[in-house]
Amino acid sequence: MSDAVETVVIGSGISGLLVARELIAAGQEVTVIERGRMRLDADTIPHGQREERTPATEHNTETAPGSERPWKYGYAFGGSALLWAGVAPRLLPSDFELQSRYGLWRDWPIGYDDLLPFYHAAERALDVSGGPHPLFPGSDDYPIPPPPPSSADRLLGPLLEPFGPLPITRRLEPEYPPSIEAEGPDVETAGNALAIARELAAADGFSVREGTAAARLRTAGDRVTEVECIAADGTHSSILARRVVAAAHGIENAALLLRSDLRDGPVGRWLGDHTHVVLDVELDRPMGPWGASTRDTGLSGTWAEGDWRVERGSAVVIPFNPGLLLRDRLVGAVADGARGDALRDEMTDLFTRTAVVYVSVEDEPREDRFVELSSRKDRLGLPLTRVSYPPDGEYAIRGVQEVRRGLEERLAPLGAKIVGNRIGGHGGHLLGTCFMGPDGVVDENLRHHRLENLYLTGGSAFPTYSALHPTTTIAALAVRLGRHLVRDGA
Amino acid sequence: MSSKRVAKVLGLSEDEVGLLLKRARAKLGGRGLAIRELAFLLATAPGLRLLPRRLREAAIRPLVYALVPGPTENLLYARVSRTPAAAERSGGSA
Repeated sequence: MSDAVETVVIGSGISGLLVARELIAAGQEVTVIERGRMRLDADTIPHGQREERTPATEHNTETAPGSERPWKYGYAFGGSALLWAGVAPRLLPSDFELQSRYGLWRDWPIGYDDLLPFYHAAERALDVSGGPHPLFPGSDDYPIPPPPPSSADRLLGPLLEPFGPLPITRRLEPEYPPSIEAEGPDVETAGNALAIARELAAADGFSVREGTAAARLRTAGDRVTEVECIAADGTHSSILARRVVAAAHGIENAALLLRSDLRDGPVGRWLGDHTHVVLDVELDRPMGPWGASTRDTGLSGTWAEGDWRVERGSAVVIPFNPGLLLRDRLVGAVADGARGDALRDEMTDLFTRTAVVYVSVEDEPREDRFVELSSRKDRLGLPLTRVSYPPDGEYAIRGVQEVRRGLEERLAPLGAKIVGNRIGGHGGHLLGTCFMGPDGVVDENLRHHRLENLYLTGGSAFPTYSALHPTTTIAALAVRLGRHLVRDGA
Repeated sequence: MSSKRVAKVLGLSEDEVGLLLKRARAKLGGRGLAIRELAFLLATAPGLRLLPRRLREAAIRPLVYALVPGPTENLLYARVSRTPAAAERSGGSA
């Protein structure tokens, strides 16, 4: 059975929701296809239980040899936003112009100034807390005031200029971490996406095909004509569509095109993620009082921008307010025979003098990082998506090394010594694969180069990756696309 | 009695360890916590110090992870005061 729909949006994450929101606000009709279930109270469910287990939500990637990476995304209404930590900076102006400025890879077909009004709109939609930061021109118009600087920000920030508030969607608390007597879950960010979802769910013209996978796009000439769907129970259907917006992430958007045999341009190529490391930096003095309003409140751009980007990756540094996770140190000390007050004093001293900083580093776009279809199939009968992602390259590694070296140098007045170095949470930023640009898959308006009614948005549209967290830019691109579709009647 | 021993080893007051044990019990259940406590107490008993360090760590870790799993418990354990004066919170950029 087929239904005719004005716009079909595939994926209900931040991208899909914000495109839909613009269209609905203009009185248009939107159907969202989502593999997961629609739970508008998902922010009350623990993270690990937000995806209902069905054949449609079984994660459908396989890893090529040597490509182990824990790709993180969510199959639920709200998408990967339900897993988001809420860190919400923009990209740097230079991130859009790496070819023009440094001769690197490619420029984006749009610049920071083009995106600025949409950044403002996205930040309002996501309730971002932020304030003026020297890295981001025009960053004086956030809907919520910036998080107050934490003790770590106050101590480290003056030595790590340019330093300023980290834009973040996490709710600001009088105290973070919350009191030990407090009940309930940690600070929740999924509520920001779900607030948009709740608004849409009540709107005229909005509908959701939940528990349904978009299997393939059918085309005729230069248009997509229908979306083939498979429900969790195996039922096949199709939706006739005047316009289709693929708003999933870098793996899923590419996989949809590949399953549909739409291989125009570098579909699936140039998959990107960030390199994350976490450094424990021991200081010669305590940082207290510990006051913080949320998990991360400050952002350093000391290693973000410079001509050296021709040889090493840009990096941003974020003090981590919860501080050192004591448990491993505690286990070691107890095993070594430390006991009682002496043990506790040792842990208190260690905790108060150790700054934990999170470092996100830009990696280079590489052609040997890509997704393709596997010969194996998932429970819906669709090919698995095979991901090839060789480990961090020299460009990113040099970026990490420079931060390690420079951090001790910059923080020398505090007697800083790096005593711990861990890999951070890889795999959450699924970028590239359908990038925008003349040699990419979509144009500057995110329209497919050949199919006039197909648009691809989300992280897949990024031509290069920056060092900064992508969600706000993903959201700004979605708002921009939504308004373009409304304005141009595209 | 065992909570008293745990408190003594970790340098916590009985009230503090009681609170941490209560939180851990709510997550793990009474039996899961009791097994961890037993392993911890055995590994930290004075007579068993001759066990290889690796084994001591393996026995100590489950209870420590249960009691001090994350930031909130860190703050209690490390005796860190959380909140500066409200006046300090009105600032913008750091």
